[in-house]
Amino acid sequence: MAEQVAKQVAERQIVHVDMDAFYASVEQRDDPSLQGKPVIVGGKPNSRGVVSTASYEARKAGVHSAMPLAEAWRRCPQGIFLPVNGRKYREVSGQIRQIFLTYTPLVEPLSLDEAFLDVTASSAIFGPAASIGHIIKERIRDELGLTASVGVAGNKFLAKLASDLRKPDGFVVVPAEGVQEFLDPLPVERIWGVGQKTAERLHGLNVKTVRDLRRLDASYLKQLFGVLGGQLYELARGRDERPVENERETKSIGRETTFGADVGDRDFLEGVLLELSCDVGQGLRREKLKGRTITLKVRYQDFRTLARSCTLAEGTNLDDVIYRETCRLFRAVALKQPLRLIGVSVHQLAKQEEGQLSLFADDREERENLARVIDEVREKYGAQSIMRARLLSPTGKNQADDAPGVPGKPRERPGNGSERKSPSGGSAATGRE
Amino acid sequence: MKTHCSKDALLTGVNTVQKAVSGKNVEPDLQSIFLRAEAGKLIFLATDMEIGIRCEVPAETETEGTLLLPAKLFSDIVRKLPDTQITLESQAESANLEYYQSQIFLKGYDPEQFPLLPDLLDPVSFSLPSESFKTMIRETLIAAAQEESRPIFKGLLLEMEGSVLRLIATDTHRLAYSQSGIDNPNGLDFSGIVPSKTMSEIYRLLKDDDDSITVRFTGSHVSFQFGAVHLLTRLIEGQFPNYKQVIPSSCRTKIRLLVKDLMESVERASLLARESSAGVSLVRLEISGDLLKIEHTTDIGKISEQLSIEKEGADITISFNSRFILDVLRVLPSDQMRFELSGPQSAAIIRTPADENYLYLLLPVRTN
Repeated sequence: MAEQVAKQVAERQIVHVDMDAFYASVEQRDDPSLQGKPVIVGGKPNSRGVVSTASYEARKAGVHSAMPLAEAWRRCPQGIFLPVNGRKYREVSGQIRQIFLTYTPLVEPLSLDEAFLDVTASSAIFGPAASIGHIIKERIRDELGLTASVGVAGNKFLAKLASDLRKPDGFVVVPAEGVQEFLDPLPVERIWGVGQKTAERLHGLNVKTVRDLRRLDASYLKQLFGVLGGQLYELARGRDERPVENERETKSIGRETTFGADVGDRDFLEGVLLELSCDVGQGLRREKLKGRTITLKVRYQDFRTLARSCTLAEGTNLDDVIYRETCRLFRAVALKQPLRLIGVSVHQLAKQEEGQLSLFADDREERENLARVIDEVREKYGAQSIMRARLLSPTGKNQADDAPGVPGKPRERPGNGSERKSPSGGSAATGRE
Repeated sequence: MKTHCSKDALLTGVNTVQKAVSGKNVEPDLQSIFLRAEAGKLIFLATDMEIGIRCEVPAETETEGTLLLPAKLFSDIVRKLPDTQITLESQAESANLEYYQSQIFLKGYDPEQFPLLPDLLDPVSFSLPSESFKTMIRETLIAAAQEESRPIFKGLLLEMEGSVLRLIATDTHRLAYSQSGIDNPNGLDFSGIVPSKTMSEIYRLLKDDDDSITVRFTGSHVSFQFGAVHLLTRLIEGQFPNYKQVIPSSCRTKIRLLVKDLMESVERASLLARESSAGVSLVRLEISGDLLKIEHTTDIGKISEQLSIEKEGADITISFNSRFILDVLRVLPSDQMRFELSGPQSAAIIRTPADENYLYLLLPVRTN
């Protein structure tokens, strides 16, 4: 069995494509006056969101993603600060995906700007994996005017390391016989799963590189780090059996907002919750999903973060229901400190069509129809064409152009309990509780 | 206080009241069991303010008095005691348990802290055979909501009207209705929503040799007395929906089949449906001619079942949450069942062939 797996791993061909400074590059491509300039996508410099992506020009000034915008402004006052144009990036991401899909159906997007491709079976038609990787890179440049870094290797772990090695515009192939040579000099921090804490402990054992790590045996690593230990042992030898999963089910849909200035006013926060609930509801309806578990997340001034959930008897995608439950959860949250962040998410998703009919809830169907019609109107005439009266008043997000209240980057999380770290990805995943 | 009783009696006491002990989110002195020794008996009492349970066990009391002991620890100790006569004595707020040549000293709390169960002022009461009440609970509790934002659905409607007593539960996807004739010479009427937790407690505590159960009620509370147990519960506030309105009086298709056949087929089919979304497993029933077919294909496999049925009326294909079907089949007290259907998006009814005192209404799942 073990041999079989090893053989399989040796034979797999995985390509990892990572767009270079994706959001910033898209902006520079679409506005030539931005080319060669430090572009920082994330929002206004005087707001308190974080940098989503910085162009390489801005990175030279020390700006990187997940950095507070104010800090980015301090380091790079000449920077051009742009809001996150999610719709545009999603569109471009879709075009990139179309290129991937010409070579293999096994595409696993990690975010808008990176994906794994399993091209093992494609070689018979399109040639060796390395040349598929190269063609994809060239097509992205020629057809979309963007650069990508590409890694080609026998598994996901190695392919991702490879794409990161010569960023930007990199192209690295790790041949099966060269794996150890490739890995050994790398610092342990590069290994998937090694965060700051683990790295510190490894350093304490005088383990700095993958070569050092390989000197520790499996049982000792397991004793030190539990399950992660076993994983480290395998990864240090370049072994990673995770398959490329093309259809990752959406596990949750959520929206959150970081405030311009900490907010302690309950009414105001409820207004924000209404807006987030409506966004989440619309997200669910767009995906034709309903969710049963509703989660409220708050982060206090001191960064303490709470999550509170409730589970409904049946799934919903109605703004009102999400808002009502979120408010109920919110009422049980103490506001001894003002909040810097608030978020709403819905989990336990199911397809909308599988509708369990109900007694004593006659108006539900009508409300669902109403929501659908409103969505259609907004789709056609824009989000401002029809909206709740309460959201016309300034709760912050609508006036996104004026701080306070620049929204944090809205995220749809895969949230499967083991969020993958993507150190090179543009979005800084907010920590889970 | 000082009293002598058997280990068994102590065990009966703690086991009976344990479900009424407050959870962890209250002060420790409320997560406790109250004891009162009286002539010839020892009384156990626990309450979480929603439900209160009182239980008497035989004891030889030398000195009357009270104790308030930490519920979990005291219960654990009682379970481990040897099977013999135990002497329970209070020393200030603490308890001393003696058996053979050994003793356990357990710190307690001030008994004055313990909230007493409210007395029902001017209660109205009636009695009925405990066995039939137990059956009614068993048949209806299955339909009560587990998670539901509207509290009324987490209870069972207890309704007395003329000489009929009814229990009704619904989670809005199904509804179980059970009734029984009672003596009601004074023509009392009552209607209240009893928390399903209380009902399942009564079900657990009712013994086969308890011949009758006495129910007393006021506007806000209801109490149940049977054997040595007295259970008092707060009623759920709110208006139970008009259940009579949703029970259809006619149907388009009526089938009759063996409970066991349908149960086993649905159980097998639901094994293959387990992977479906959000934990809901669907079962699609295709009723045509003298056959009921369940055919099901998922990523993990395929099942095809055929059952012989007696049918009156039109053919129909309809889908249900398989759990909703299995729940009722497990409590149905007959070998045969009647299944009444009125279309793929209309409520269906399951009953026993002879008995008109019970029905289970369930709504289908709309599939595309």
